[in-house]
Amino acid sequence: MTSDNPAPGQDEPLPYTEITDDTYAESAAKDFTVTELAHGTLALRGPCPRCRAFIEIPVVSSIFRSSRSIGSWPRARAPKSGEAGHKEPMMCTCEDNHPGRPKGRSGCGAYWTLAITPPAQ
Amino acid sequence: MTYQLSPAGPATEADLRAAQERERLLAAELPRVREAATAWRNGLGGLLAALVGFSLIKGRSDISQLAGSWAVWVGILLLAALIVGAAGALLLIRAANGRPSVVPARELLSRNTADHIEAVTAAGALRRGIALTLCCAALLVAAVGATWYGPARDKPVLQITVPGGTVCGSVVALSDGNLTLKTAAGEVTTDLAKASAVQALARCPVPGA
Repeated sequence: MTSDNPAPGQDEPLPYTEITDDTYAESAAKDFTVTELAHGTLALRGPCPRCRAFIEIPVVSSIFRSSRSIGSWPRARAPKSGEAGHKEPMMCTCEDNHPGRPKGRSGCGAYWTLAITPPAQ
Repeated sequence: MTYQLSPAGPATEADLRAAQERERLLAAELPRVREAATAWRNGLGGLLAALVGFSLIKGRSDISQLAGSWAVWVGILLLAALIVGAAGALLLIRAANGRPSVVPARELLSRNTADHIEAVTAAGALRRGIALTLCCAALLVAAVGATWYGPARDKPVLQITVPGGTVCGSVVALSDGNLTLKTAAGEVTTDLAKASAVQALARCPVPGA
């Protein structure tokens, strides 16, 4: 797949397209800021590399999951891929209008991956 | 020092699906916590109600009938159950309904981020609330058990002073001016007309003490 990154300020909204490009990760790595909101919760903020909408992507180490089975105990699930220092999949999560976006989805369809390296101890 | 971002290589469709799944899970995380907290709150409330109802079925229900030290310990258990139960109930309510707080507008986060932080906090409150409520139930069971099976308070005794000395014991019978007491040496009948003093005591004095 190739990029169709438009010029900012264009009149027609970008159509929703699930697309990636090497420049997306490079752009996000350069433009995004990382804020540690709580232990195990990071917020990555910056413009979407494709549609340039400002987005905030939470990167979390655990997600609550409860089971209805007897004897279960509600607790956060063990981290799978959200740990800092791991490869983290990213996608645009903007709420802007992107024609063709499936119901229940968000963003313009752009996705990329970032490596998040924690500060040295 | 801050976190560093760098490209992690070409993304695949699996990465997109993983990001979408994370988005979906985060969007539904807080409602899941609230639903679980509501279910636990209702279940534990029913458990405590059943426990209180069970304790009313039979057995001693007045701790003033217990022996002194037992009554004190039952009182401590009930006070601890009240404190622990109130704390547990507040935590369960907090997990199910959130905390009524006002957040400065400049600290607003995206919905998914704010919901995740609240979900983690609520899940912690839910775990602590469950533990405290079960602890409250255990304390109540201990208090009810001690009230049922603890030793009874000693019956009050009478000490009669007669010309020949004193007689102390629990009342057995009273007839024709004669009072029969159950003493350590057996039943003793005393003519109340000859008594110079009648004194109610919690227990008889130990001879030689």
